Amino acid sequence: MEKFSKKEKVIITLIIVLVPLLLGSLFFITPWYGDINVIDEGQMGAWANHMLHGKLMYKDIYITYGPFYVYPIYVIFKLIGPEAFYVRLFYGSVGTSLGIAALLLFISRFNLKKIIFYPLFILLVFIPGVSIRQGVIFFFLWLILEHSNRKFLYNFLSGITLACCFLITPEAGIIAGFAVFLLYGKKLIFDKNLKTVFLSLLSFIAGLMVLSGLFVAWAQSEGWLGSYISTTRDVLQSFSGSNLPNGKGFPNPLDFFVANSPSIGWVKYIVSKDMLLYYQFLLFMISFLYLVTRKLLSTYDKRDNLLLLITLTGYIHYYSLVGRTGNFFLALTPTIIILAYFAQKLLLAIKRNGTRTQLGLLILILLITGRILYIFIPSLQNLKGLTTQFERKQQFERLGPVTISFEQEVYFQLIRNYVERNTTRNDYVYFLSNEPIMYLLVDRVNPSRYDLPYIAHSPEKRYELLNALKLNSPKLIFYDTVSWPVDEVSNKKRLPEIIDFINDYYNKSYIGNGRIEVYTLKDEK
Amino acid sequence: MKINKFFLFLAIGFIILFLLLSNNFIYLPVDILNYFPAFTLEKWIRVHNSLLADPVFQFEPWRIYAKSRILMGELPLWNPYNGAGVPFLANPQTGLFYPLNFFYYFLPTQLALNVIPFVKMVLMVGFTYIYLRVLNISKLASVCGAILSFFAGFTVMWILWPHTNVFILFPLMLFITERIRIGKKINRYLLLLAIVYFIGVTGGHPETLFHAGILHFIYSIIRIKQTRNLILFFIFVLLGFLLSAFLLFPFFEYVFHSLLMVNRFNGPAGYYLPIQGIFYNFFPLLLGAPHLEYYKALPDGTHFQELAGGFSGIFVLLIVIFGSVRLFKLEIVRIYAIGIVILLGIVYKIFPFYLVSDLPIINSVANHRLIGFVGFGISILLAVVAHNITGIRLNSKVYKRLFLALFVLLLVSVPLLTLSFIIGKNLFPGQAEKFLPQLFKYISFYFYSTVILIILFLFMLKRNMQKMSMFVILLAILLQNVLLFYNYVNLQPTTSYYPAHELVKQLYKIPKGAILQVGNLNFPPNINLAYGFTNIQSEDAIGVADFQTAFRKAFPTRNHLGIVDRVEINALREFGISYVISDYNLNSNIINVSSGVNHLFPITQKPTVLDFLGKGNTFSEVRIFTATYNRQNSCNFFVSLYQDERILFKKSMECRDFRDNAFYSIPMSDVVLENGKKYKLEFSSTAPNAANAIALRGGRKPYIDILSRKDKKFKLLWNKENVYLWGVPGVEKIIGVEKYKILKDDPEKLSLVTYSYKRTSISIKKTMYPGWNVYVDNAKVQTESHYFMKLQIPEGAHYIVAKYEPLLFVIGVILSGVTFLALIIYFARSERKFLLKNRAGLYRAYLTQDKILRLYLLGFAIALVVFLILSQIKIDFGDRAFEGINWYSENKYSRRHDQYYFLMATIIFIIVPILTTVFYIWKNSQKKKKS
Repeated sequence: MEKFSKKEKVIITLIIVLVPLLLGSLFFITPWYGDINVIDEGQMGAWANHMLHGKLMYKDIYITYGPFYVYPIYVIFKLIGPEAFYVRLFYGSVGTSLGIAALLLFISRFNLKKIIFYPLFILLVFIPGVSIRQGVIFFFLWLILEHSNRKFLYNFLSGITLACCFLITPEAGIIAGFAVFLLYGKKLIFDKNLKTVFLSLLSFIAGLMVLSGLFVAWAQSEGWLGSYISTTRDVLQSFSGSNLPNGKGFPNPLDFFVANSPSIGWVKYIVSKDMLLYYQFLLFMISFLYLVTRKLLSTYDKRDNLLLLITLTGYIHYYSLVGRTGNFFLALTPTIIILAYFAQKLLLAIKRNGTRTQLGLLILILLITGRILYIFIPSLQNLKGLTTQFERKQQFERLGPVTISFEQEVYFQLIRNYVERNTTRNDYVYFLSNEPIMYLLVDRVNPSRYDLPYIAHSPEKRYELLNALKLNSPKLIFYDTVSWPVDEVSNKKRLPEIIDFINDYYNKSYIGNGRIEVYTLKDEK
Repeated sequence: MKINKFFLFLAIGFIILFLLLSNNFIYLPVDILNYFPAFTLEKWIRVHNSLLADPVFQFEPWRIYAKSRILMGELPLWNPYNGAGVPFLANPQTGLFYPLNFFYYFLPTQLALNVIPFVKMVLMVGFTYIYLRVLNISKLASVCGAILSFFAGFTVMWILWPHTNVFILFPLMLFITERIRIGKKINRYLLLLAIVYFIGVTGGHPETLFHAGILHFIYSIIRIKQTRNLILFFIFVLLGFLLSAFLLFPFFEYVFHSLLMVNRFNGPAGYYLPIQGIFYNFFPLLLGAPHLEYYKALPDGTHFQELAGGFSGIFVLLIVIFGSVRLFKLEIVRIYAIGIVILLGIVYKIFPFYLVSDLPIINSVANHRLIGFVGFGISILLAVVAHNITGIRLNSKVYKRLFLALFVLLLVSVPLLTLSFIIGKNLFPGQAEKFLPQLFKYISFYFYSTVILIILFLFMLKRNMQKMSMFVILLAILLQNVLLFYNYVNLQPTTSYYPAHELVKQLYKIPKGAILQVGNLNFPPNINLAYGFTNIQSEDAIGVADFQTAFRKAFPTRNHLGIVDRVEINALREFGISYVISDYNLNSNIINVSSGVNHLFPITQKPTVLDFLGKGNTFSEVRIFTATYNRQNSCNFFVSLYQDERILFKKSMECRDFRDNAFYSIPMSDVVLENGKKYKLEFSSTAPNAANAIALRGGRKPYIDILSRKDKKFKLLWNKENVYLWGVPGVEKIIGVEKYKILKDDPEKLSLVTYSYKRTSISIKKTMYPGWNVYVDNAKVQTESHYFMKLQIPEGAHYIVAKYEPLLFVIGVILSGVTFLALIIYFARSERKFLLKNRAGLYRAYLTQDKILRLYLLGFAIALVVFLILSQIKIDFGDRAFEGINWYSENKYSRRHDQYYFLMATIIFIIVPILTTVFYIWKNSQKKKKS
């Protein structure tokens, strides 16, 4: 990378810190303004709140991430107090800042020109897709690429980081593990001095074992190690097959082209977001082929290792899009980095003695980047209301200094009042629509492990949930009739046994002008 | 070049022809299904070869099951359709991972059935050829040996068995040993060695691998002189086994939980061939053959396929014996000649050789199959002798004497053969009438071809026409091996592939449930897999011990076919059997009057009579056991019942309605048999002699059961002739709870909800086997020691899941994975120089930046076309994955489809552009070479 002046470094650092803190990304909302994401932010808040009530991770709560991803928010709640604001601040701002910092560390090895770096940097800061979960992967990749040939201490540190990756989220662990596999595989085959390779491998394994050992001791002492293993296995299995709780079919352009006769609609579809998924795939393939060609022509250098790793990372993330196209942003960061890398290559070539083909390719890259940015136009419109919303003050306990819409505030207030009137802090309450944030806001405990009921869509989980409801008999069950049905499959459809149970043992009433169904235990009346 | 192209086009033409014809026939002896009365109710078809049962009854149904699971993107660890569930992957004979079986999984079935044996043949010939070539045997001599290695009895007869999956690897093993002995590029061959042993394990016949391995070890110890290389050899063989740990561990687990273990290790030591059957290795058709019109097994029951495994043709044998004696100084001849003698000693239990088979482990395997290696040894000796043909030339005087002797023999043989034929025909009238012409045809052909071949060979030898003498050898192989065995397995019309006959159609109509066959062989275990039914029994040579022991205890009465002959309704319920296919009315009491089946009583005009005493019972049906000599007879058959010469009942039937080796229950009008009174059953027919008659099988007297009516416990669902389909009332899959609902019944997972008013013990009708874990409300519970899953559950509603999670398989996968990586790293490290070699100059000569871009664009375009074509192949991933209720289940959309397309696209879009580029470079380099 071209050298940056101190001033530039300060500006970059400030952007990394301040943009996520003040503005957030183009897609997400800022820490200070915007409705609470009742699912994503909600589950984190709910889990930490349950833990404050003495529930154990995995054993009493079904957590789809690693413990290192969830535990910090519990610590924050414990130290400062439980507020939805901290969830947003920690995951949305701090997490993004750390993620971008780790990413910059990684791409610093690309030797990008400033003319490429700055647009890329701005894109990475504003486009979502970088969080602490991605950051830890890039940090790990940087670590093993930068330091694997150095002292054993670095390998030891890499081992610790790999364990850390897995304990933050299993996907990060898998990607990092794959990178390790490639790296050490290459070393074992091509390095002359096998002894050194084995020693570095041993120190890597030692690092891995140290953190894993500490984790095992901690989890075992608290009594949730077994549950962690079984839950993580279940998450990996269910999310990799057809039994994932949320996911849809991959868009098939043939369906569109067969169903529609040639028209302007075809052109629109060709530049649509659906097709962007295919262009993304092609980009990964091109990147692989580019690397193969470099290898054949003996022009492969160390930077190509970076490209290889970023391509692999992107490809593995992309694989998760097959069924979960909503995760588009996860594969977007590697896509943009690859595009930037190729753009620089083409730019330099054009500068030297460019051909029309190279110029054409560069324009194509810019067009694709433009198309990606176009996705965020609607999000930009949200910024319009920012100033007016800041003026409105609210005092909602456990929400913190975050301004939410009036509609959401009313909704929260309605439920909270009802819960406070009808239950004590020790009573169980269950939210049948996917809004775990309510557990944090009303400070009540879930009678089951599933804060997001839609995740309990498989038979064993449905019956586990049923048994938990039977055993703990929640005093109230809420169902928001206008809540988002994940993938257009409502929880009432997903959980037939639960619905039967509720109908048998609970009375239904409505609040909020009929919007919210409230179920109360029959023998309570 | 032109000749090469000609052969290329010829090969392509042959393949196209093969593909076209493959639609019409299959190389699978499905005609054997016609042995079952249920399959021949509409039309009787003669079975071509009565010994080819296993490929149709077992191997093919297993492959059908494996294919169905694999195409659903699943790994078939468990077979839930037989024996209330049996291990599938752990059963080696399924050959689940055998490379050639992948043809079966991904090609149309008919085509795959023809391709696999063909490829096996090519591989056997090819591997033997390269082995002989590495021994410095000339090309033509190697061809002779290689062709014989396939057409020597064992391979050609066992081609459809997993034995040959492994056996064909034996010459490759020996080839590797020779390469290691030579010592060049040893790493490549060591890696190949590990892979060969891995494939050997996947082949699915551990016994053959054991035999091949032992012989290979001995051979290698003799041949490899360098100690280091020998140590490396053993290490890589071990690595080959470790590579297959994911198959071996579950297999050993299965063996240790099987009856096979009990039977093999506690049974009589050793398996041998009877010495009187040794002539099969020289004159295999003397007593007929199963693929000919007449065939008779040896009195002890040892059948043709076992006995003729060492056959290689009498001419070849003579050459080999003669040549081996003359060339005994050669090490390779000594190894094989001595080896053959020792193997024959073991196989035929000749002192002191057979003492080897008293050693532990060796005493538990079927050592008589070593006969196949004798045939292979003869093939190698033949090639060595043919190669050194100048070394066995004779004195010119000897030639003259030999020619004279052979000429005289030819002259004398004509009257001798004619005379013996006439005498034989008069001495053995009746049955032998059909056999004798076959026998004399065979003897004449064999005798004259041998003599003529010897004359020709001696002539060539005398004139020192080395190449021509090898053509004589090839001619001998053609005449005395290929011609004798080419139709051992007959091609069958595609339409005969597991036909949906009337019984099957009835079974499709009723709700699915476990089936049990009673009495006749109508629907033996495993063929149910071809139809998607469930059979309570399993036939897989290993068998889960607890289940089988319990089953035998519950159904103790077996007939001589080894089939359950009597059933009690409680036992049927206990085993969750919903349907019974029987040859008689199950709502009857059955009393055996006379037993035994080893003798035949031909039913002709002269009546066969059986006297018996009445016991106060009602005579409703008489059950007999018939033989038809595997032909359709055109007589009328009569059964009459007499009391004091007074006829009580008489029934007439047509002989053509009877099948070979089948029970028939003939309904009579109900007659009460008075206690202590004498009755007489009389059997007769219109046939004047046995040549066109059926027979009754029996001991001293014909086999007879008397059936009398009793309570109607069973529900008759369907009946035609002697095939009955019964429904068993009150059968439940789960016993012990008031209510239950099965949510999912997948091969490796069962989930259900139960409800009971009190704490109770429930029994799930699934075989309890290591690896099955049962969870009640997501908590793992201990199951009681029982052949079915039996567990305690508290009162109330519970969600129960039984999952097959074989720990040893998982450990095996890890070990195999680690070994695989170690091998790859070892190999790649040993090839570092090759991998690191800079070839940039070569590529740069042809590739500019723009050229690469264009080539990749072209590659992408081709890849897109290829992808679109391949995506049109509809693969049924099934809906088994839909356990939960989500978008996929609601829209009946398989995510596996998307994942499959994604992976396919990845492979195609990387490989095709690379191939396009490689092709471009190759084409240009060719042009450059030319210019």
